[in-house]
Amino acid sequence: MISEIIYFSVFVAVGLTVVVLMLGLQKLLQTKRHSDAKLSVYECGNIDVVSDPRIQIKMRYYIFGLLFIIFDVEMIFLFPWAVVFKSLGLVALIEMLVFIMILLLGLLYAWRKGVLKWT
Amino acid sequence: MQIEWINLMPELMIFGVAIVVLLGELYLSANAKRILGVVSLLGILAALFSLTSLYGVEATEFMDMFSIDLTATVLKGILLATTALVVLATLRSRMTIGEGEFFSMMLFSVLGTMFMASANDLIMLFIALELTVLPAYILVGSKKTAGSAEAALKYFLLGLVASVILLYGMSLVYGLTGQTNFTAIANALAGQAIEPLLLVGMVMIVVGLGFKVAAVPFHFWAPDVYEGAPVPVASFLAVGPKAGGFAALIHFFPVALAVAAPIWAGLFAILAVLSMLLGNLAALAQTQVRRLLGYSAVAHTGYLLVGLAVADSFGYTALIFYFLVYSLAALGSFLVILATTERGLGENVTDFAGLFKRAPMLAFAMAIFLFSLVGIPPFAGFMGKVYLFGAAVRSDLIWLAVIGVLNSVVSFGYYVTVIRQMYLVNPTTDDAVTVSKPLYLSIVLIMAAVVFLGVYPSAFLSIINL
Repeated sequence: MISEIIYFSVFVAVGLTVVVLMLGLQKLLQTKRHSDAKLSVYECGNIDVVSDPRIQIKMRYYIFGLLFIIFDVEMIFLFPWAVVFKSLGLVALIEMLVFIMILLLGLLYAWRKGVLKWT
Repeated sequence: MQIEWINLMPELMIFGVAIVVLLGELYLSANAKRILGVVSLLGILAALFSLTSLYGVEATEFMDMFSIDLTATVLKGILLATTALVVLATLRSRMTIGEGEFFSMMLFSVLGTMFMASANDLIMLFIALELTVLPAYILVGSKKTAGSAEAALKYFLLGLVASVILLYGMSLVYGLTGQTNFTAIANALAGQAIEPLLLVGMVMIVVGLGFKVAAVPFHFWAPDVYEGAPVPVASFLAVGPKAGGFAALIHFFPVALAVAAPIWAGLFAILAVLSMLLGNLAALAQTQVRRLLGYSAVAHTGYLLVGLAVADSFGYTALIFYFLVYSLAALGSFLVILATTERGLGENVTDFAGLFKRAPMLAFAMAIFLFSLVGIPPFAGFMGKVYLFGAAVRSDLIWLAVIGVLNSVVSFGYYVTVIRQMYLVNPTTDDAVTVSKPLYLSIVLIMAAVVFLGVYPSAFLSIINL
């Protein structure tokens, strides 16, 4: 019990020290040179945050998003596969390759149809 | 766990051809793409051939998720044969030639429907269903006109709602039984009182699948989609996704929810009556041929649901037979519309005026298909209805049979307006309507099948052991 409290307090202490060190050090070492770009609000997709709310976003943006989602969702299948990979063996490798090939075909389709060109 | 790949041969072939056609679409020159239709047709025929070797085989694959039995094999056979006819008919069509996407999306949708026919598990069923309908949404919207886009959006949004409701219902059934396998669900439910929550789940599954087969009151999308989709796609929709919906219905309910059979049979009886009444009455008011056929498709969903309301093997057999008969006649009439629109004719009923003088064969074929849809002997539709309503009478559902027969009489009213235009009204011009050879061949084949099944229905019924 006692050892657990010590363990815990060391953990908290190290955690706090790291935070203080990081913030303190950068406060000490930083040089302040502001520019408009640095002060602007960060928003995913490079949208001007303060402007007319009715703006047009390039259609391509969504298509890129869709393509990203395909491979993002693929991860859901890859992680459990990786966990049990050893006990499944070669068959699992082939099956996963087939699965990824099918997904790649989707990417290939988008590529050949010129979807990946931004302009 | 050993997988007998030979049992999956038809599915693998369709999958392979779909991929090859998609790659062909990406890498072939515009001129070489003309062979993609032929490649698809050969692929479907090869799959159909390999399916014949599975006749009578009973097996399950993928840890009981995929079951091969007579019903599934016969349904796949019907599906592949009718799809082959669609592909044959569209080989030289202006709308589809050189469009690898059309053929490959159609093949993917067919693949989904084949998995649906064999699905023995809720998860497999849902994935197969999505594989069936997602390419169908794309196909409906493929023409890039306002009508096509509107139809696609309606189909997509309503289909999405249906899928979500279906999934919710499935999750309730899973929550109550802890099983996703159909037989395991049946075992878990056997001998227990029916819980209210199970009924809620069951109704949600009925609603979800009811959307897919366009049963009233979940039919809103059907007339718009049949009207707005490109004609080759509309003709495919009349056979493909609908087959999947009915395959799911006759696989899921009798197996998994056998305990609650009287309840869902009653539900299907209500849906059948509503679909027949509303489909036929709404069709009476239509002036656009494809919209008319859309409502007629709703009415025919009603007739087909009678088979599920009967809820015994006679009902299911009659349903499968009627589905074959209906899909042939519906496909045939859509192909005739394809033939006329290819030559620039409009799609109003009055645009068919005097078709008999301009294209005697097309008018004759259309008349046969419409008579078959009404159920006039000696065409196949008559025998289909005899078996279907016969099965209803056999199970003491005489009222349902009577409503069905009365509805058939009503349906004569709108089918005959098209026939009257073709034969009794004079055409505005005497120009002959020419038809491309593959389309002609496809229509003739369907005509032969409709007449053959009407005269000699036992040829098919002996295959499904009635």
